[in-house]
Amino acid sequence: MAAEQGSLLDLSRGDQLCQIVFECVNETFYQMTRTNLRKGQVRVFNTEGSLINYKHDISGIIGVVQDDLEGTFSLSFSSETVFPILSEFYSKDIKKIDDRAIDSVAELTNVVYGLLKESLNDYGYGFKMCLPIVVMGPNHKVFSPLSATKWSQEIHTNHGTFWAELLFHNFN
Amino acid sequence: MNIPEAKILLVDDFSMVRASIKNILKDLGITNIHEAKDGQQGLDMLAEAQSKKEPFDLVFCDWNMPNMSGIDMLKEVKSRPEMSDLPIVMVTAERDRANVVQALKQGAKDYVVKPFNKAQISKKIERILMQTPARASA
Repeated sequence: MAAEQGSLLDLSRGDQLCQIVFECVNETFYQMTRTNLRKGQVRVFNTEGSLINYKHDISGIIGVVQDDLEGTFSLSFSSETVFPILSEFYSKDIKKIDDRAIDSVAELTNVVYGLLKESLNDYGYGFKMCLPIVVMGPNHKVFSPLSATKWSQEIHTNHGTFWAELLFHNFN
Repeated sequence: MNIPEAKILLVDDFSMVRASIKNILKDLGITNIHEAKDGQQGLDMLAEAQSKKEPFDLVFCDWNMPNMSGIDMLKEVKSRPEMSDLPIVMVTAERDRANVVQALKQGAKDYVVKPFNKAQISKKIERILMQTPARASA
């Protein structure tokens, strides 16, 4: 994932951005949970579009911040997708969103963002580390009330689909 | 020392990371594995083990934790003569050069960046423990 020296990633190129996001998610899930992932569709939303976005049961959300740009990265799962992943990892049947599930989604989000930050910073962006939060609740939505462009990367597992989303505020 | 006999402490506020490292350690035949959720709990466990003459041989310690951070725990351990030789591997979610330099300056034996794999952890454990006499009999 290392950038070519002197190159600059155009953050408006959603295809490039989503490829990097997928690589970071894929690396994290393979190393941490031995889950094989497949890249799905990329969708681009404006703020209004995000209001009709997918519904999720648990989401890990983290700030994506540097001097000139502010944004958010999130991983959002349905229960049907995340429970089998965590059950396999912990070798225990996980059937509800408990402390362990919350903790795991937070850490997966944290580690994916660590890789993403590193990848974007290889292109010269000075993104900083932030702390993740976890939002849970049946069929919740993740959207920004601010002016924003959001890239939503669909990711498939053998157990179902989840979404990695990157959103930048004040993005020109 | 004989690697499967090692007594290892995992200090991380996230159970997923502790479980990841624990799975790798078990694959290496190590079963004497203990866990702490933050630096303060980790420090207390290290001190208690030391007082019972059953010291740990190696610690994996996260960087960002509530109550006491990993770097503060590292500094505290290195300031105590009875524990100053304890090898500590820092675990971090970012490959930040400044953090790595800071950890090594404070006496960390090594560092590992998340997400890590079995080969990376195994290599570090083998390198560190093969160079280290068992602390309980030292």
